[in-house]
Amino acid sequence: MISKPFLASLFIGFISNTFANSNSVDLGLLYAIEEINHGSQTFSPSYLQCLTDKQLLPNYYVHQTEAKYRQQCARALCGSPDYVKSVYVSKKNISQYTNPDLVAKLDRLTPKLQAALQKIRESKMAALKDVEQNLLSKGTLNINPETWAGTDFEEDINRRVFDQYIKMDINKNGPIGKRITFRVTDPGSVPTAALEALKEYVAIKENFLNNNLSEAAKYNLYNKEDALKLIKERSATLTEKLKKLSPKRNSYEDNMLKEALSSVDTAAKNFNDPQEILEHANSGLSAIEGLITQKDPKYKPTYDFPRCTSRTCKKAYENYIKMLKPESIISTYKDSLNTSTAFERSINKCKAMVVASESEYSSAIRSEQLFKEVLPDFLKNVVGSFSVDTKKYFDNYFKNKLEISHKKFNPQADIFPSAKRFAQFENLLDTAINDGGPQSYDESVTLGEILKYSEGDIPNPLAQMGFCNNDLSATSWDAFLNIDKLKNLPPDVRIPEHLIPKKDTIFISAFTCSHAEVGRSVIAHELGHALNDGFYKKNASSKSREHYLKLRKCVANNYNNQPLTSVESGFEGDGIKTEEDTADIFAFMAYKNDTNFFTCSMLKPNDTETKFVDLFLAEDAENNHSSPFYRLIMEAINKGWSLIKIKI
Amino acid sequence: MYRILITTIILFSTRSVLADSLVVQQNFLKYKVEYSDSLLHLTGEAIDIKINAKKCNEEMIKQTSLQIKNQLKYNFLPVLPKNGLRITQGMTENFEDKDSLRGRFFVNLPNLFKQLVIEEQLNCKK
Repeated sequence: MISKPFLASLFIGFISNTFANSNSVDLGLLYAIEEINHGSQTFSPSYLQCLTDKQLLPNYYVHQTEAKYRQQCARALCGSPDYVKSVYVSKKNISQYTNPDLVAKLDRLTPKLQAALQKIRESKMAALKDVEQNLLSKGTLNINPETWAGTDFEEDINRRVFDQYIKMDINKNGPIGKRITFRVTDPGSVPTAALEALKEYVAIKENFLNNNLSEAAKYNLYNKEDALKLIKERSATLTEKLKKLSPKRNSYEDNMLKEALSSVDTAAKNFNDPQEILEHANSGLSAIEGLITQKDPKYKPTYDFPRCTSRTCKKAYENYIKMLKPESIISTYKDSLNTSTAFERSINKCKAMVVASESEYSSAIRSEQLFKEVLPDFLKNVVGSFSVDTKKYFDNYFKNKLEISHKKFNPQADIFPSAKRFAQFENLLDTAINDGGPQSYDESVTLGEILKYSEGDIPNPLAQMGFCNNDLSATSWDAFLNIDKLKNLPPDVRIPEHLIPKKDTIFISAFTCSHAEVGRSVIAHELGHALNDGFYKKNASSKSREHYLKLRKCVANNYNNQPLTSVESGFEGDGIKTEEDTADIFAFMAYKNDTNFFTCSMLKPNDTETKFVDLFLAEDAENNHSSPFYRLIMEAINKGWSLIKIKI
Repeated sequence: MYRILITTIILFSTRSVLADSLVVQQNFLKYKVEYSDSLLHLTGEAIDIKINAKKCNEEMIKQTSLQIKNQLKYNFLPVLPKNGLRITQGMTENFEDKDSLRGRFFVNLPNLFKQLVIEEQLNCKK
């Protein structure tokens, strides 16, 4: 229920702000706005006008090239370009995100690092001896593809020995199980000794890619009908095989089978997209294959990439290595293990890896404090404008259900606190010192390194220290996450559910923590996503929802918006930028009187910080955010900068 | 004669500073990287890291540039796999699987650049 007409209550703050407050602005801003205008259409001063006048914002993809006006505009709203205020990580501000305590800790650990590195050097030298003895003395290599499972070496050597001569073809109309084929691009270039092996390798690879459901999904090989047929047949064949192998299953196996079949069934019933059907069914079918493997160790599951272990293939691998003239490579590789500069640089590389992967952690205390400051503003200025019931729901949700996390949102499921990770690093370091390293350097690992070293892929073999590589994560960012959204994320950026303490969480980045003035609006933007999610789940009154959808439609119609892909969830009529733009609108509302525009932090200064660069109005069609300059204009307009009324 | 010499020097020096470039895109990750023996420059959302060669980092720049070049030697995929990478060189668009060695290398490249800045600071400290 709402007591007054919705617009009046929702945007009451905006009304007074937009029309009563005429902030001054220089000519640059005016010209920039004129650029956005085109033809006879007038640029709407705010979304308020969009709602009340039913006049949608114009398509702004037509613009002039007067860069100087945009520059003036950006300066008028944001002041001088300054990397310290910018969200862009660069050489000028990277120290802001580098933990000085961590650097000091690492400096104290230098003797330990040196000791561990010495051990690694010894292990590598010992492994090298084996390679030398076999290769240089006996002229043979101990090539053992069976041990390559899951190692980078397997892919690395295959791409050198085989993959460089073949190209993949996909025929989506071909028979099921034969849609991916490979052809040799230039048979004349393939070394004669590798030709036979190449045929074997291609047959193995084709068989794998055509029969592995996850690969079939990746390459979108099948339509829905084919996908359903495929999983039905596969499920029946595998169940029959398991039943034959194990007619009397124990209760554990029985439960596993039931669960697996049920997940295949769910995939078939609940999904429409063939890629999703295959991906979801794959987990169930793989579980059945796992049970079969337990009963019949000779069974080759379709999820396991089979290695070419024939004598022909082994010969092809050996010939390739010999062709590289390994004697001289081994000799320089050995030298590189023994140079003092390489030793010192390896220590620095290790430190840099740890610092880089541990940088950007935000502070828990600061995050809590900022969140506590932002929430009342958001509740009052945004949520407070909705109906009583809606307000009650969101008030409870934001205060009692929504979690905040200062931990970095890490696609590699790396959400442990920094201290714990550092302890992990120290443990690995101790293991390296005491047990000769966290990994054994067998012949294939050493060969792999030599191959990479020979081509410059590993410039310094000493620097390949497993304990320093703390799984560098992708750029951390502020985010609102919930389980529904996680499900829509690609599998590689999905955090395992058991690692998430609470499904509805706002992640607060180091930038936000260290730039509190604009950081408040960043948090309000994330709360805007949470609000969107509440409306998406229909947790608001129907009246509030109706008007919310109107606002969202205004936002969506402001673009030549790319349609949504399967990655994003959204409302009907949404474009790719609608979710982010709507969250922006709520952030503007939360801090409607704050002219310290948070979107200024997204403008990029040039190297010398003399001007802003990339002041585009149109952003990449595939980017879900609007361009920084456009977001700035929208923030200014929605905060009542009376752009159109200014007289020259 | 002098003119030829000067032209040659200019051409040679211009050539030495010319960097190759790539645009990499995977879902919402997008960046451009320029690389040569004397320059590394990566720009993308929330990152702009430029490393110019000097004595204490020239080896690091050359090695990283070579690593990027090496990644481009092998055949690409004919179609964009689900959540795969688009790697654009000039007018040529290539596709790669995100889980491959090359895919992982390019997904991680922005982080590698952050690491290089710190590494440079440590190597050039003296």
